[in-house]
Amino acid sequence: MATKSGKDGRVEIGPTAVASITAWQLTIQASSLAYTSSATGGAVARLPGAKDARGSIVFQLDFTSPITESLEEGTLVTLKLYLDRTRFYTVPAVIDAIEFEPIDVVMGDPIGGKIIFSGAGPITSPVFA
Amino acid sequence: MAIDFEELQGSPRLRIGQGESIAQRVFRVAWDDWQAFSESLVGGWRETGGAYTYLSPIAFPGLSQFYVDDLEIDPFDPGNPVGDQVESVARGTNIYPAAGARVTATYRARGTARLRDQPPIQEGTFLTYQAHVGVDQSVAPGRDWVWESDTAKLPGDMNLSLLVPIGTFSLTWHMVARPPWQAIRQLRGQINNTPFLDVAAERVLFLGARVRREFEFLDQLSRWVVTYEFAEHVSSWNQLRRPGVGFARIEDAVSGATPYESGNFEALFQFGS
Repeated sequence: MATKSGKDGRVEIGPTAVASITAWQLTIQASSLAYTSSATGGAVARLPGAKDARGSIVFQLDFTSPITESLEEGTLVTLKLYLDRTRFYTVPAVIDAIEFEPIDVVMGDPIGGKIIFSGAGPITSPVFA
Repeated sequence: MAIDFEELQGSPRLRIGQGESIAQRVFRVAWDDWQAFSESLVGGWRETGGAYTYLSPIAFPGLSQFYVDDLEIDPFDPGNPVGDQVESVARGTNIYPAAGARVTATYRARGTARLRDQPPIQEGTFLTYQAHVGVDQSVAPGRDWVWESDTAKLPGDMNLSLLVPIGTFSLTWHMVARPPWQAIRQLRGQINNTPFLDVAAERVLFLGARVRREFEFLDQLSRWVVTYEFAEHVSSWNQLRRPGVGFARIEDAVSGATPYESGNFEALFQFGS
């Protein structure tokens, strides 16, 4: 068994790494079609449907290179979501939303937020061998 | 070769009405099988080297007179197309290998007729009959008629417009492999030379045919519907009303030919070549 930490994870758009990423999350899923018929023996059967993806990128806002300038809401991008230094998912995506965390005036935490995306095409998975 | 299928939830459905009854079944088949499955439901004639082999249509189970009248095919999971066969607008369509096709078959009663003096027809085909109303109008000069009360003649400038009821009817021949185009051309405008549908010779006039092909997507099978239109007279079509006599036969003063030629209508019910 070979598990890894996420410390080398990063996000790239094209050849460029996106600055100040603190985490990313990806869900890869497929729809299914439930039905019954003369052949399903009184039980619900399901058929695999189309594949889909969704996820989010957690960031801290770097005022010298704001992430919001490279990942605008409503745009189509191709994200490379790195698990480690070499292995990554290639995800065509549409940026659904940019959610800022509350700007904490009292505690003064770094300004940051989350970019939410949905899949916009087939995903390429990394090779683990 | 049997085609795998499933009958889906909610099927069958039936609607029974005074005028028309309809039954419907919904199936799921593999996407590549929808055309062959549809052909097996509707049946028809398969031509091989000039000879026709009959593929019997499949009746609704338990309703032997109900046959497929309409088909609707759509993807079972429209949200999961595979588009690698779409080369251009003219070449290729989406396919749905994962979930296949939904085939909705609508069945209606045939209304098959079994009539007296019905012409012999190919097994696998059948006839339906519909009668209509018509009239034939003729004008007779008044001079040939008298008033009943005093037997005085009608004025010479007064003409009688006589309406003679004509029975028109349609005889539709279904599941035809190939329409008899030649017989249709030859017999159009002719009258029957033998009793036809219990009507004496020379009383039925063949008006013509309406022909259409059914289920044209069946490129392996042939199915035509031929509707023949006829008009039936109260006497021979070669007779007119003669004053003092009634209906009498007429002929051309020079050639001796009758107004209408007669022919054998059985040729209308044989497959064309």
